[in-house]
Amino acid sequence: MSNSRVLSMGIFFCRRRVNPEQDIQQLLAQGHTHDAMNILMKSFKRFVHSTAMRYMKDDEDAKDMTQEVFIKAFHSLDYFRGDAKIQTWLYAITRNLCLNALDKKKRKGTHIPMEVPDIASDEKADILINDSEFSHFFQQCMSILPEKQRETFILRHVEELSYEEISEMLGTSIGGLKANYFQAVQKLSQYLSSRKEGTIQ
Amino acid sequence: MNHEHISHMLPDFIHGTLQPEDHALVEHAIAHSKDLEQEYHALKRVFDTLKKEDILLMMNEQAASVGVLLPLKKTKNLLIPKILIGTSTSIAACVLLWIGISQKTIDMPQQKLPTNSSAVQLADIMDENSTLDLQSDEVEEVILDDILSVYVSDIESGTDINPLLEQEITTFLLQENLDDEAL
Repeated sequence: MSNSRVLSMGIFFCRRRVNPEQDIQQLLAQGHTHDAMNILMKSFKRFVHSTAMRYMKDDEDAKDMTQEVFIKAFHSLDYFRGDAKIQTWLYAITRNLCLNALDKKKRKGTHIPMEVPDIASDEKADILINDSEFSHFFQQCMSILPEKQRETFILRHVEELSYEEISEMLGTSIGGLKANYFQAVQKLSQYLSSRKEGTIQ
Repeated sequence: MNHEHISHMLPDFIHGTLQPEDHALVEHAIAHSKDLEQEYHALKRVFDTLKKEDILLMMNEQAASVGVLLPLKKTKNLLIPKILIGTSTSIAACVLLWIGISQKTIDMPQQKLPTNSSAVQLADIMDENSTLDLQSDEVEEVILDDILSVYVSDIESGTDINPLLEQEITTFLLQENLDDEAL
């Protein structure tokens, strides 16, 4: 590894910033594409995979999509405009690839799981014993929301993105996003109540 | 400000991400409206159940087993329009080019097999993509793009066609025909 590459990687590891966007941009400007990609993958693997998971609703498909997203990003780095955030750009690639893959599946007549089976009825909605149960429960909650509301909920509540950033990703007005977010939480609230009532009965 | 407008601000009120004046406004509205107060508690319960930390932990665990492999080099710029790749037009174009070059090489005196850049390039392409999942459409397209780039540059430079390259293109064309027939 050349001295300049070691230095470039050193910059990233020494700074340990919460937001890696600037480091990636800097490495790209210096022509260290692979180093930039390494940081990009480490920083956004979870984000890309979870986004793909919400669209594909299947872990293996989501993994394949994650691989494809990063390959696509790698080959498209030259076209990346620095005025958009890397996360926004990756979200757009992930969404497009997933929608294309779903469309292909639909045309081929492959089964696409749309609903997550219900958890055992004696389980309380708000007492979740282990991680896999939480994962299952979370998928159930997300499955009741329409795409825009689901995406707004995750991007705002989990990713803590601003309404401006989400607006750029989803192409929805800020007022519309606030309404979507409220409706998503309201639907989830009704869902949790109905589950609890079901358990009591 | 009406009830609906205040309701839409409730999630951000719970997160504490509202501007101070909006925060005070919502706080005041909740204190004076039973409906809003109920709504506030109902929404708060959602965030208490679906905690951000739990969701992130779950997502991190799911993503931990995701492996991503990248090719060693980026694909070179295409010498032919990308829109032609993978379409019947591109197949027809390749066939015509292939026939044209075959005719040309038959008429020319025999030369040594190329040991120059194109053979090396082709070996590089196959090598750099060998670590990837060859079932992936994306990878297949990358390899095809590279092969066609080398093929076209060979034609343009007037060098003999690499037999490995001819073999790859023949395989591709045959596979495409089979796929078309299957459809």
